[in-house]
Amino acid sequence: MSIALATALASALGFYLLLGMAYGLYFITFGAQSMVPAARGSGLGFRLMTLPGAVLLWPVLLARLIKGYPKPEAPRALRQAHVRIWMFLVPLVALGIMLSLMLRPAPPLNESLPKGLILEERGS
Amino acid sequence: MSHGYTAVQWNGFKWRYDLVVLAGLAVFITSFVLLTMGSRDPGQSLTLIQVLMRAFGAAAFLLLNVILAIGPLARLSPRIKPLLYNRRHMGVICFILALVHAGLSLLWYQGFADLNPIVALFASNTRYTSIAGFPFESLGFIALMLLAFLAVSSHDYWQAALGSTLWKRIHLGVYVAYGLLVMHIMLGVVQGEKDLIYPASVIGAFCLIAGLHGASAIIGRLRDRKVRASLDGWINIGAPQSIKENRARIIRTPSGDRIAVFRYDGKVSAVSNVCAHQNGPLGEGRVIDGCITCPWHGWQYRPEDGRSPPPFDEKISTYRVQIDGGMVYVHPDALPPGTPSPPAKISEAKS
Ligand code: FES
Repeated sequence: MSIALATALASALGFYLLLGMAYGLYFITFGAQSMVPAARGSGLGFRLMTLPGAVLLWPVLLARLIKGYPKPEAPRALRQAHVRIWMFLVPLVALGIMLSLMLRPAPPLNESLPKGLILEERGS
Repeated sequence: MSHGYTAVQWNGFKWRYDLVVLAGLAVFITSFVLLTMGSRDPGQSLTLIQVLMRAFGAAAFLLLNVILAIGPLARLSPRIKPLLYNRRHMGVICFILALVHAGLSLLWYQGFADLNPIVALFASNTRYTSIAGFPFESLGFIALMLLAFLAVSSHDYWQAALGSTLWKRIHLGVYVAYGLLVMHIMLGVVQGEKDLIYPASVIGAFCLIAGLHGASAIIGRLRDRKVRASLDGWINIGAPQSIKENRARIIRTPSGDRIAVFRYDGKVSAVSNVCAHQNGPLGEGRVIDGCITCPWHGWQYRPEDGRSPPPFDEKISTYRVQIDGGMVYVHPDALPPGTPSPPAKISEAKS
């Protein structure tokens, strides 16, 4: 990755967190309880604990505020998603492991010999 | 359950649980540092920071494996179920360990560069087509970001705020983070170390976790009796006496839904087997004080309407149930969560 691209990525991340911080301040004062009425009257400790979540999840929270909640999916759908993830993960990681072992650099000759047997450089 | 929130709901069990986890991690990290420093080859230059970096990374990976093993192990053996109770604390501790590992790595490798450490992390190595020289740090960074999302949203409040569906989808990200971490280690420390302990433990751990999840899925399928609906749509699940008192039989309908059919107090009721909290298997729980109690974290639901007792307001689907000719019949179409469905009375049943 070029320095320009990496800089753009880091700036985007910083900007995302900055906006998240602003939203987080609103969230711990008013937002947390307006989204979930059961949070009304919760203590300062709980509000502060929601801050990191609001900083990271602010786009989703905003979308929930604007669009509301979709219908909950059937439990079966989640189980299927769980199975699909493993079906995808196992072959992919297995392939990655195999490649990483096959293409692993060989240790220097001295290190591959039994301890105590050190090769002397010729001509020295 | 979602009524009034506190930052952490401590109780004696949680304190003991967390203390054991923290003590175990302290022993692991200390032993890792001492063993690594003690077994260094004379010519090997490994500083204390580098060893600590590895120790925290290894501890985070170990804990993640434990977290991922508890779910399937609890399905295979009921004795593991208490460990599920406080698993989220382990998740947060795992993220903190990973964060310390990442902080030490950034400090050691990028901290003295002129560039912003995050920029340096991504720009210092661009060999994405090489295996031995792959910028494995980027995989670790993405995994850390995923773990951060999981850790900050682990409180029950977030399930209510984000909506159950999205919350559960986000938390499936733990498997993606796990895969990334396996490759982070295989393309990182394993490439530079001749010691076989690193690849052996990572591959062993991955096989164990994948195997446990596979085994629990297969055993779960075999255990939950798949039933056929009879012609009029009702499913015969057998005599009420074949279900233990205050316990359930779990059945899998032709469409794949799991239903928990409970016998209690001379009655039979059927509800979804899936807890509204984190999908715990309600049918493996029991009826306590008149409520179905989830074996994972103890959320409760009334069998006759699938609603949590006041002041809570969680709901699960219910199913119609009747007893005819001494047999319990359940209709496989789920009623909307929280819909009252009259229990079938065993005493009134003609046999
Ligand atoms: S899954 Fe947590 S209480 Fe049921």
